[in-house]
Parts: sequence; structure tokens; C-alpha cells
Amino acid sequence: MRKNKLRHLVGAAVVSALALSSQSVGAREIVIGQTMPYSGNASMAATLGKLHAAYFNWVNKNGGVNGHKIRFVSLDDGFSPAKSVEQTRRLVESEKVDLIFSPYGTATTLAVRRYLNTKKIPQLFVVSGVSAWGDPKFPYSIGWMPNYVIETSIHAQIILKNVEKPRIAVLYQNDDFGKEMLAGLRKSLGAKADEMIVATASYESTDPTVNNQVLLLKQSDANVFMNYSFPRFAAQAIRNVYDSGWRPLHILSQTSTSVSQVLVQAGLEKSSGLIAASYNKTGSFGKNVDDWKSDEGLSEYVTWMKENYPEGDIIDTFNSFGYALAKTMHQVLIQCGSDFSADNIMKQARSLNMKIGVMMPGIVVQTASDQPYPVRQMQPIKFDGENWKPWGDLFGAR
Amino acid sequence: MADKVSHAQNTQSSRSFFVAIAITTAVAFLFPFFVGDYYAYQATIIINLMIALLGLNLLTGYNGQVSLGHGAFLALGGYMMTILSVHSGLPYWLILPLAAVAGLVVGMLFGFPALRLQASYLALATLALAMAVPQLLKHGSIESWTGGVQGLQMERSPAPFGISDDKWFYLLSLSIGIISYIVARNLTRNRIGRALSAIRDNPIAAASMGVDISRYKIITFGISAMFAALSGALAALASQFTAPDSYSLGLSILLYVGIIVGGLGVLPGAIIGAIFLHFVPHLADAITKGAPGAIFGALMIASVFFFPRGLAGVFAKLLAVGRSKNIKEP
Repeated sequence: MRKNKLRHLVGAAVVSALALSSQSVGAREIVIGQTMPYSGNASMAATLGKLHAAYFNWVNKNGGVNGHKIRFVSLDDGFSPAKSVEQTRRLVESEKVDLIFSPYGTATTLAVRRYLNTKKIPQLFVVSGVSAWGDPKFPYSIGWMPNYVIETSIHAQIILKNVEKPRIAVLYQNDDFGKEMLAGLRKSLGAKADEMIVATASYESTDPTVNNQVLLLKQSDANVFMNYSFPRFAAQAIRNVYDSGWRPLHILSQTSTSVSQVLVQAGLEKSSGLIAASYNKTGSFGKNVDDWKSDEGLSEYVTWMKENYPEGDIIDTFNSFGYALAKTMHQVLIQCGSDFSADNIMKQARSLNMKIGVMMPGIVVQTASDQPYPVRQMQPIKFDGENWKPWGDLFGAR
Repeated sequence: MADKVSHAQNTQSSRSFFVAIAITTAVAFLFPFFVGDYYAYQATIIINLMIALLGLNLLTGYNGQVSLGHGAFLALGGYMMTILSVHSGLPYWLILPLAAVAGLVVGMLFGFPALRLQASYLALATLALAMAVPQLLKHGSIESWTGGVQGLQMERSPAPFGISDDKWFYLLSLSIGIISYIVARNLTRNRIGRALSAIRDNPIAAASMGVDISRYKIITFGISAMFAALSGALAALASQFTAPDSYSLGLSILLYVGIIVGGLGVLPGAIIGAIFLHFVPHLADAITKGAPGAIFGALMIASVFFFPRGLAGVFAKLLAVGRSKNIKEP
């Protein structure tokens, strides 16, 4: 006990001596910038920014990162690329941020990618599912979540492992999400993709229903149904497939695995047996937060939320996702030591190897100098009529 | 006698008016050399907004045609700028006039069906345009041109005379903004302007006075769209990027808000409206992250409630008060 105390004292002395000796450069503030749709069409994502503000507050309260305090500036871009250009410039030129963290959206972040790379400001853990993040032409930009190509690669592995002679029908939304999912699946299935995919049908996000598309796909007599649609349509398709008496292996994109938003709407009984791939644990636990306490990783998140961001909805997947992003950011800063230069930040962002409690067991957030995709593994999950349950082994992208 | 006094007063006040304009212009041109590039860029955005609001004010404020879809014409200009420079390699100084002409032509074409629509129906038709354009831009058949939902990046030749890009494009926008303002001012101050207002106030009376209503309405729509396209092209040039989500329905509505708050039928209203549209959302964001939209809405309602003639009306009133004081003095 005494020894421990002594060790702490010595440690504190060493730390403060170090801090004193390097005060001119060492004690500087870390400035983190972010653009977030606090207003506009995508404002449901704004809780990410609020959670991050709470997270960095919490870090500061606990002494900061290696003694450095964080100043977090998150600005509204209204989900407009024009606005995000302006706000990002404000962050860089007026707020003098060291890095941009977890900016939201695809067009909004692609709009500033070149600017940030020219200015050598790290654009870290962009919240966008397209595979453009990781392009070696833009070394200061990096994504985080498994992109659509990674997700479909895992879908392909699930199909090939579980279905002997797959005849695949694909329903997809006619936009970058749906089209990149379809293209990714085709690529992952390999040379025989065109034989295996027997039917595809697309819908517009303005269509009232996808009933016709589902009936059309059913006629192909497929035994695998890929449901690459957004929540409202995903729920319709689940109901339509079930009601028409079609019983294929039904695989849902991760975008639409929410129990309350999708499966309850479709009917829990009709949703029974659905398959998806997920990296986020919260999706596989039901709505009852008390159940989550049985899980060590989740209970850490729940406790943190209650203490530091009580106004946030614990079962909102945006929050558990945002928490995982913040943990990753925190880890990068810790690894940086006292060198917060752009090059060192990027070097550390590209040498991650960590596990996060809210993510599926076994998933490692891992990057390397030549591997810029932090999350590349997903866990197949199956809906049992009440909850999503892990189904078979973890898959990694190939 | 009274006439003579007021004439002298007028020449004096117009002289001081021109001095004030000259000083303002000089300050505007020198401004970027005293501030950082970011502020020059912000000012560029405001000027571009002002150009669009000038056009919309001509259409709605002076001519009484309501457009809730001017974002579509901004998109036209913006996409002409990026598509032509990416796919044909034309220099931007050539694309700017092309975008203006395209805006004029498309605006006039839209003006024809607009003739048949009464005010509220025209508002709906333009609203439909604003809703359709972002989706059309994302359509698969033209994705190789527009870059789809991810948008399109463009290169531009660097600024001449060794000044920074941001300063140069600010000066360019400022020059075009001033020319646009003079054009709009001249349009509203002569026979055409009177015809436009006559059509707005009483179309039947205007027609019986020999005003060709259809012609004027179509031309106004064209000119208004021309200003909007020019504004869109300048904005795309400044940010080197266009994407469908930059031209959402919200933008069109905001432009309309801008002219109402700034002042319908008063040209300086475009300047004030642009400043309002640019800074008030920032202010709202600084006040709360929870519901910036609500704060923006409250500020908008407050400004309309307290300044029903628009913020420009307030300044006009102040000026008028100043003048009447001058006259009273012995």
C-alpha cells in the first residue's frame, strides 16, 4: 500500500518535471474540429456531436490526454456540402484545429477532402460508408465503419457458407448506398456472381412501397434475398416476403437492423429468422437496457452514458457508435504522446490495435500504414423473434 | 422656392451619396488584404448570396412572381461551372458568362408556363422544381457527368498577380456583384422598372396602359434566373465542388426568407438578406446545438414582426429621418 503510494508520488514528480521541462510545447491544448448536421435533413445524427462534446469534457475532467486538455469545436453544416466547406475552413483557418474528427456524411466530407489534404489537417474517422475513405491519394483522410464493400464481402461469405446452390435476388435503393452494396456483392461473389444473382430490382427513395419489386423478385424463385434498403422499405419488404409465402435466406443490410424502427414495424414474428452482419453489439441486444448490464462492455457504456450524457438515448445506435468513435480518437491521442503534428496523428491513426466494449466480441479496430480501414470484421446475427443473436463465427473482409 | 431648395438638397445628398458609395467600394476592394483568407472566403459567399437575392427580389419584390425554387437555378450555374471545367476543360472566366446565358434561357423557358399560373400556383410549380432538381442530379443516367450523390470536384487555374486564390475570387465575386447591383438598379429605375411594379400592383391597369405583361414577366423570370445561375457558378468556383445536397429544397426556401427579411422590392434588401442568411444560422448554432432551427425560426419571425418592411426598410427610414432633419435646419 505504502509502496504503491510512493510509486504514485514518484510518478507524479516525474510527470510534473517532464511537464515543466517541456512546458513551451508540451502543455499545449489539442483542438479538435467537427462538422455535424445539427439542423437539416440528417439531424437525427446530431447526437454524435453532443456525445463527443460530453466525451471530451469527460477526458478533460480526468486530466486530459497526457496532460493536454482538449478543446472540441463542433459546427453545424445542415448536411449541405456547401456549408460544410465553409465550416471546415472556419475550423482550420479561424479555430486552428489540429484535426477534424468524425465529420458526418458522404458528400459533406468528400467536399472538403482535398482541402484538408492540401492543408495537411487529418480528417479522422469520417462517418460515411463509401469505400472512398482509404484512397492513397488522400493520406490525411481515414474512415472508420466497415464500408459497403466490406459489409457485402461478409454477406457473400455468409451466403457461400450456408447455401449450397445460391440463387440470389437483390432489392436495393437506387442511390449510392444501394448501388455500392450491389456492386460490392457482385465483386465479392467472384466469377460466378452473374450466375448466382438471378434477379435485381431497385426502388426510388420516393416510392410509396416496394411491394411490386418484392413480387417480381419472388418470381425468380431465388433462395437468398438481399434486402439492401433503408428502414421504412426494409420493413415493408420483410412483411411482403413473409406474406407472399416466400421463405428465402433473408439478409438485411446493417443500416436497417433496428428492432424498434424496422422489425417491430414489419412484425416481430415475420422478422424471425432474418440474418444480418453487425459490428455493433447494441443492435443485438433488445430494447431493455437492464439486459445490457449482463454484458461487461455494454455496461461500461451504459454507466458512462448515465454519468456523462444523461440526455442521450442509450439504445440509440448512433450513441453507441459515437462512443466507439470517441474511444478510437482517445486512443490515437494517447498514442501520440506529446507530438500532435499532423503526420504523427496520421501515423498513430494508422497503427491502431484495440477492442471496444460496445462492439461485437472479437472485433478488433486495427489499422496499419498500408491498411486504412479500421473496422473490417463483422459478426453474423440472426433474429429469433425477440432479439438479434450471434449466428456462427466472426467474418473478416477478404 | 421650395422646389429649388429641395433640388439643391438633392444634388448635395446625391453627391454625398456617391462619395459614400466610392468609399464603401474602395473599402470592399481593399478588405481582403487586411484579413485572413477565411474571411475573404466568407465575404465571397455573402456576395454570391446577394447576387441570387438580387435576382429573386427583381422577380418577387418588383414583379410579384413568387418563386420558391430558385435553388434550381443556382444548381444550374453551379453544375455548369463544375461539369464544363471537369469534362471540357474550359477556363472559368468563359464558363461564368455561359452560365449566365444558360440561366437567362432556362429562366425564360420556365417563364412561359409560369405566365399561366396565378401567384400561389406559381409558388407551387417552382417549389416542385426545387424538390425535383436534387433528385434529378442524383439520377443514374447522368451520374457520369454529375458525380451522383457524391458530387463533383473541379480544378481551377491559380489566381494571377501573386495574390491568394481566396482573395482573387473574392475580388472577382465583388466585381460581378457590383455590376449585378448596378444592372438591377438601372432596371428598376426606368420604364421597365415601372412596368414591372405596375404588373405586380395591378396587372389589368398595366395592360390597359399598354404594358406587354407576358413579355415583361418572361424577361423578368429570365433575368432573375440569370442572376441565380451566376451566383451558383461563382459559389461552385469558390468552393471547387458541387453536390446535389447543396441545392436542397431548404436553400430555395432560405433564399425566399432572405428577400422577405431583407426587404421585398428594395434592392439593398438583397445585401442585408445575404448577411442575415449567412450569419444568423451561425448565431443559432452558437446558441444551441439542440435545436438551431428553432432559434433561426424565432429570429426570422422576430425580424419580420418588428421590421415588416424588411431590415432594409429600417435603414431607409433612418435615412429619411436624417434627411427631414436636414431640411428643417435653418
